[in-house]
Amino acid sequence: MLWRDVGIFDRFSVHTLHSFNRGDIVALKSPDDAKYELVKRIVGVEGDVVRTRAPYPQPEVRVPQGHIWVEGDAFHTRDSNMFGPVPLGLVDSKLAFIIWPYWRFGSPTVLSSPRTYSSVFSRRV
Amino acid sequence: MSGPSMLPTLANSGEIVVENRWSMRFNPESLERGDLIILRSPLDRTRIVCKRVIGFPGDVICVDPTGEKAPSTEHVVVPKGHVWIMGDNAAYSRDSRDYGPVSMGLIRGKLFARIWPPQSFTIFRNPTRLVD
Repeated sequence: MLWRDVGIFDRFSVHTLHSFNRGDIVALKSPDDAKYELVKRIVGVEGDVVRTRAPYPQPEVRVPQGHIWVEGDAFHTRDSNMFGPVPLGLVDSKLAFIIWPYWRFGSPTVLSSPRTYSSVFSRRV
Repeated sequence: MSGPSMLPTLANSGEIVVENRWSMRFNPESLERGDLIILRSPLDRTRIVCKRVIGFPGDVICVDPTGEKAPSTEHVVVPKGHVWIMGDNAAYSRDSRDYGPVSMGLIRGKLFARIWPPQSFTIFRNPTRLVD
């Protein structure tokens, strides 16, 4: 997802169904400043152990109860590697559909180049 | 309202309170230390909890003066965009002493008044005083 993409965000599955999965793109309030909304991808859910990238101080972190680890797809991004795991209460909506640009029309798919991700170990405890 | 974590301000059960959602949405600067706030629990987004704001971003907070949940010399600095909350019934409250400072984005509103039972009708005011 880049700037000037247009998509449809789904608030129902967040506020009513409370369904969060790894790989979802969500819009969440920034933990540092509630005025701003960020759009990031869920990389880890509670219980997962995530391998972090700079500038996060620890190399691996276990996502605590009720929190998620979010990362942006691009290289230069403010995400959980800056501010740590975020509580689920900050998530406002989930991306259901991309409308524009038309060549990416449809549901957002898993990122094709996994090298831009931190690896995720999921050890459910 | 239910739960003993805000005794004696709020009873364990049987009370109805009125929440003010607009002042936080339209004027988030109106929050003060000592206000009663309603927020989504950082541990479980389906739960709504009520606590009191103790510290603002930048404040240095003594985590637990009683020494129960942390050594009484331990202090933290509240990070930007977060607040430190505590229940009035310190012995029986899960709050920032357990899960750390909470992001202000989780705050839903401020507690305005208790309207049930009618004999204990109160409009909540900020009880704190600055001691220099």
